[in-house]
Amino acid sequence: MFKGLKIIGFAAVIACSVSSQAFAQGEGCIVLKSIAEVEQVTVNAKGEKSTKLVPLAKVVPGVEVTWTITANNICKVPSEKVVINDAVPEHMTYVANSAIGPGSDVEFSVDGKTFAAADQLTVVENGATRKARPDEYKRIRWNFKNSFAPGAQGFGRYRAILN
Amino acid sequence: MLIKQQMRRVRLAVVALALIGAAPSAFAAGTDTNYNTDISNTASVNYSVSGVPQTVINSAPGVGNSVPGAGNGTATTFKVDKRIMFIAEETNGAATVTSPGLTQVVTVFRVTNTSNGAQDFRIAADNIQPPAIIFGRADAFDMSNFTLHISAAACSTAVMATPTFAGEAATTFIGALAEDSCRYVFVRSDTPVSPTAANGLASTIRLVASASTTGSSGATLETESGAADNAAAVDVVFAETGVANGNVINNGVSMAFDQYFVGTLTVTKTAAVISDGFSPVGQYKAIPGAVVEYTISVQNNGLVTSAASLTEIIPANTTYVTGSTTLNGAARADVAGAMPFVGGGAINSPSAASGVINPGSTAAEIAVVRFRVTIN
Repeated sequence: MFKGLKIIGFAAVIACSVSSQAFAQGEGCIVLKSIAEVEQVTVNAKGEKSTKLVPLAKVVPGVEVTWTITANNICKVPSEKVVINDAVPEHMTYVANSAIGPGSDVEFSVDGKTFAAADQLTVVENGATRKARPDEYKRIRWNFKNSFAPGAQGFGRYRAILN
Repeated sequence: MLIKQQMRRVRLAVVALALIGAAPSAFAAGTDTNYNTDISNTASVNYSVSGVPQTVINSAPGVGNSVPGAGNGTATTFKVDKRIMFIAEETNGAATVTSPGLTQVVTVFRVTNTSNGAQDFRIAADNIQPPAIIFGRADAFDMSNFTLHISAAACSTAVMATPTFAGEAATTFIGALAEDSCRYVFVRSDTPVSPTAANGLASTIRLVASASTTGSSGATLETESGAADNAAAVDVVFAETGVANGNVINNGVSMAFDQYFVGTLTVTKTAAVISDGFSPVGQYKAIPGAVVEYTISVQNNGLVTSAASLTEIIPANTTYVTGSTTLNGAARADVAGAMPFVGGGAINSPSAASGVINPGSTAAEIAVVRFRVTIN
């Protein structure tokens, strides 16, 4: 006859204790920043162009704004299945082929519910299905393929024109 | 016998002409975002830890946000700035006819605002000249006493018109001109007296429209802000594109030019010997007894006249041939046995009322008086 406790329900007990509150008072594992900048093109003496992002100057209709959303893992454990979501701001129009996000698959949505890669997103117009145009995109998401190790960072970026 | 042309003074009264415009300008309706609109972006991130989905975290500008929950984080925002675009234009491609000493003569301009929102404009007029002459006439004198008035007439950016001044009050600015709309501006000024302003001379004047700040009634001009954007305020960018007539782009100023043209009556007088009692046709000499016919042509180069009156004298050493006077080919009766224009008499264009000489240089408008004398 055995004396002692049989261990059951092990995994469930562990799962209950894992929550965002466990890592720090009121803090999650990701610091998320959203920054608006503009591209500045400079041409050097040899005529070579280089582009860098600089703070906004005047923003008037027609100006292209570069939005960069940065996610930093501030926990001591990996952040998995990181997905950055953004809406193209009201009064702005997405610039085709401008979305980048190293290490991620980028998807778009027109209705906010259906997401797909750029070449696969469709809309229905007058009963017919057609490919969605980039100027119709309303939402973008970056699905990162790998977990963020502690301290690791990833970002999503795109450009939009002010209407 | 000398045949010469002479200028003679005649009395005239003038009436302003209404000119019809014909210079359409088309502007697309604005769908651009108005200044002061807030542009706002809040991104979010979903993630898991050890296989367990975590509460969403929203973004913040600057150092970012790590407090989970849909109610946390801060939108990244900036205000849409002012892109000031506008143009001042002359309306009908022609000078306004005036006459010496005529005051408060009207020229018409149009100011159109295509900024991304309503904008005030200071307006002013002066005698500054464009880089090249307009309407093919050099500037010969200055106008004075400029006043500006905004027409109450409807203004369409699709069709250019030239409305009539209707007594609108003088002003120095256009207040809150809505996006993609326009106003007609009357410039009134005084013509100098003769001979500064004389038949055939022109004066070119300038209208300047400058973007001015809201509520300053044209007193304070808009200025472009410094380099960096102030996300919380509406900055200013000058973006007007006109380069005609010496305009400079992107400086918050648009100029247009118009012209006043002095038209008066010109009188020409010729004399011809039409018989001398001896010589064959065409070889008449001015000898005693010869008959001379005078032809006086009065042409109106300016504004419609009324009460035009011709005064003539019978030259010394000649005798008037009674009953020989005609106006526009029709007999004009002698007055008290004398040539009817000796004491001054009304003249007119053919088919016009007495005293009215219509502007124009064809036979339909020119008043022609003829009379004959014999050489004593």
